[in-house]
Amino acid sequence: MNQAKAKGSLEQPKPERAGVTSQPTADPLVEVTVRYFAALKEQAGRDAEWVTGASPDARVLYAQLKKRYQFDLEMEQVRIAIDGAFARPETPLRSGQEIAFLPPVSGG
Amino acid sequence: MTEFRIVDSPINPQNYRLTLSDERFGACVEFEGWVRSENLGRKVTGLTYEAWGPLCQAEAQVIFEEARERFQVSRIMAVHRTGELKVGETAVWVAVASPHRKEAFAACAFVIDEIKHRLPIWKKEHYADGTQEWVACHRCSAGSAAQTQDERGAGLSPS
Repeated sequence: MNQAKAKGSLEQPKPERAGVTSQPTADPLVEVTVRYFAALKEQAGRDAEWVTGASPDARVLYAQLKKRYQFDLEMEQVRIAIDGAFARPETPLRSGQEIAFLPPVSGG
Repeated sequence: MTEFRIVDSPINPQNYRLTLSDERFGACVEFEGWVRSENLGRKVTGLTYEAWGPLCQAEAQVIFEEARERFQVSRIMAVHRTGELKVGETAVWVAVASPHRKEAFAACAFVIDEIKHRLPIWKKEHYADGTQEWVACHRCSAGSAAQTQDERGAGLSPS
């Protein structure tokens, strides 16, 4: 009954592997699943992927992905969900988490 | 009884209305949001809605709980479309049933406002000139982005 549109749904993504850092940093590597929606999904050309990188928090991760995919949206316009719940951008990331980047909403 | 649904086929309120009825209730206020043919001076031919189901469901339940506490209403139901919609189709339907009309009106207005501002649902407008664009709700783009109670409780500044 509660069905999202198929291509936006969360069932069985087939993530690609991608590194997001080009230079070594002091931050430990984390491997997370990233989900994109709406404009971000279109600009990334995918709705989910595995990302391995030195990304201490979602804000840093977004900045790395914004550079890679040339996202139009600034971090301040994007909301974060970690493992399916709204989260603060500065929440530390751990391997295995699912990070969703949500563009400004426009339901109704 | 509270229920939120996301559907990818036309919304028919008749399918849901009966689930709200109760002999103790004297009022049922419904809101239906339709796709209109113009937005901000541009001719609109249709919309595409995308939703993130799991988080929509969780946040809708938070909204419903807020409405129940604030307005003392008993039954709330909302249904939102996804996919491709033509002008005139129903994008969202909200209904609130309660013993008296006043709280039902207020709760219904509250719920549709919060749905528009808080649920992870995105609308792409298709224009008569062949272009298309993802749009943001006015309150969000105005800088007071929708925040959950959790975020407010965590002291987040508006994003």
